[in-house]
Amino acid sequence: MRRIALYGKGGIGKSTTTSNLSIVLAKKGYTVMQIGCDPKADSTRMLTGGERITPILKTLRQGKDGVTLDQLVTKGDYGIYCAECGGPTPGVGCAGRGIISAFERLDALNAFNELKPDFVLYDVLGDVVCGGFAMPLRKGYAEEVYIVTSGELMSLYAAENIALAVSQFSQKGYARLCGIIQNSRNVENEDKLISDLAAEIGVRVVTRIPRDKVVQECESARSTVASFFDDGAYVRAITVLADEIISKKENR
Amino acid sequence: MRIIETGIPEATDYFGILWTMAGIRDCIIVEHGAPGTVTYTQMSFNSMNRRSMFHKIFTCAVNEDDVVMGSDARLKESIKWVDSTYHPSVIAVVATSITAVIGLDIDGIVRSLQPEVSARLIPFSSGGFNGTYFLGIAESSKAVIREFIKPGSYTPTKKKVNILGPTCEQFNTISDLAEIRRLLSLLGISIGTIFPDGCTTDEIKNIPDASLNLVIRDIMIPVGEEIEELSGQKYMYGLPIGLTGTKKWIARVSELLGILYPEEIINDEISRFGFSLTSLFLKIQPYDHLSVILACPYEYAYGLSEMIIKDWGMQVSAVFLPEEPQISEHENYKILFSDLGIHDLYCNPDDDLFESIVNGKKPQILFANSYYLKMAKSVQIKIPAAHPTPDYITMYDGTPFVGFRGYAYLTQMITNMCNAHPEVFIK
Ligand SMILES: Nc1ncnc2c1ncn2[C@@H]1O[C@H](COP(=O)(O)OP(=O)(O)OP(=O)(O)O)[C@@H](O)[C@H]1O
Ligand SMILES: [Mg+2]
Repeated sequence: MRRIALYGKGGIGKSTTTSNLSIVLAKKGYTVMQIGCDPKADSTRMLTGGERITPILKTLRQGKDGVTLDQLVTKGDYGIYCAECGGPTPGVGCAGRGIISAFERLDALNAFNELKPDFVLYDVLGDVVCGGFAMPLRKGYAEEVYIVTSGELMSLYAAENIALAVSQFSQKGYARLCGIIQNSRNVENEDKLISDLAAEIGVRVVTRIPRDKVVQECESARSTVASFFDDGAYVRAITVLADEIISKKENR
Repeated sequence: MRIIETGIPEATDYFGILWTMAGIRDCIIVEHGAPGTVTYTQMSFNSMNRRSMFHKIFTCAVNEDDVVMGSDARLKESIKWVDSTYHPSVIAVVATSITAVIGLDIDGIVRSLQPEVSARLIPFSSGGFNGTYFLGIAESSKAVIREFIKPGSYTPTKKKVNILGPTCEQFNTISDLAEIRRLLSLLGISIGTIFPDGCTTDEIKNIPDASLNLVIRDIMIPVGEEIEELSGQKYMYGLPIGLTGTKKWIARVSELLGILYPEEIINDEISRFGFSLTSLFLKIQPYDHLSVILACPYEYAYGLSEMIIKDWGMQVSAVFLPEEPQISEHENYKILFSDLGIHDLYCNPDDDLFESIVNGKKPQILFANSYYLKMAKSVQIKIPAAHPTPDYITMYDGTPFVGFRGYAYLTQMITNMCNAHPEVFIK
């Protein structure tokens, strides 16, 4: 089992990229689990026909101790296991603690041993703002981290901060940063800006995903691009990412 | 970074709030926090003269779900239940560290809930991150004062004073207040309200009825100032300790209240209680070399220093204060101590510093809290003089440190203790 976390600035395209990656991996025959670590609970929406699945925290509140794994995990397109941590409404409570609670419950139910996914993909909200959002970086969760960024300044800043957080965790022997995923916004000089950042933090740009209106078109059809198409610039870029991730396993 | 490794972590403002509010008779505390926090609070309260918080403090017992979702339902329910079950005049709604971390809006909750309950709700939202318990006591006292004293001009009763200061963690207050009451009655002065420990909200409302507020600890000075602003009432800060100190204190009170200094009464008191160490020790028992270290709040530390030096004729080799005294700017406490010849002053010391100073100075006598007294293994005569002293009870009202009787009590005690350790007389 390989566990991979995708971090990046809010709205940069983490959920879109993660969902397409899940599909490409699933199409290649792997068992994939995607866990949305975001109170919005919208990471896996395009894997479940646009339907929002009930977040783990909400199910736990309703069911208390009697909750079973199949209540927390929903099967989506290509058999992908979908789970959403969920969290409080904006402005109250502690979303970070929510992620910790959700993870602990998945552990308690032995989720990974039961479902036996080849890949677990964590789609993590925005910056690493507090300990809860660093949860996927800790021991026993994601070993590999990718940062999604565009060439926009704010996105690059966020990427740098995330890299800093990850490096602190890797010093403890936890997750390590494996690369940058460029999700293009067609900013001037975008490729170079992102390559420079990657060099600075000592990783590679794994793939350069084009900005493509096919994403919105498929979204309107409540689907990912990769479940509709096997080819095209967008899917090819995602496939590069998938192959890179798979090959890492073979290198081990 | 200061790592707290001994058994005595410094109490935060959260504790100051609880200690203050728990002292108000018709107040109940509802805490937003985990049940364990309340249990610990009750234990700490109980360690001070075995007082009980039974039916004084309640928790809404937040669980993980409340934390994650930031739900206030349980807190609101608890407040309403306390209101309808116990009918207190005030409910103090107190945040804990959990509340502060998740940023639950205690002030907003209280505001929206107030119309639905009959008790006056007072929110305390800091959760223990704002400072030490001194701050908590001062801030919560001020909040209560603002709630119950309406600004305006009052016609106070002559020869009537209030006392501002005592809370449960002030050492020896039962005896000290009894002696202060006795001293005042010698002058024909009555006490209106003693705030906050043991008072009711009606008594708080009556504070402006007295002519003067006697502030007996530095942290209550801002409260004295607050009242002065609201009602125009003056305050006087100080505690009568030792013969010299008590005479000065009585002179100031008399002056502020326009009473003639009662010369004859004072002389009579001194002839009864003012016995000198020279008359108690034998010629072969020299004591002028005896050195004392004090580790107690400012009022005690200064008053006892003055007594030890001027009335007893011993030496004070160092003074430890739990915090920088909050006395007014024109009264520099360092100068006050240095006028007594004391230059070794330490505020909020860590345990290592305390230990090394005590080991270096080798005093024969130490006034301190239980933890310091235990730490100072080489000191012969140890006198509890500050909280925390979980192993020492001061419930009987006849063991004052203040006033003429306090002087007599301490003088008798020090004589007996020196006699029990005759080696201290060897120069
Ligand atoms: N490569 C792309 N080409 C075109 N549109 C894209 C691309 N990537 C993402 N988008 C669009 O950007 C929007 C935001 O993407 P997405 O929801 O994946 O971001 P996110 O990082 O998960 O956001 P959040 O931080 O809010 O969870 C999506 O609605 C999607 O349509
Ligand atoms: Mg998202």
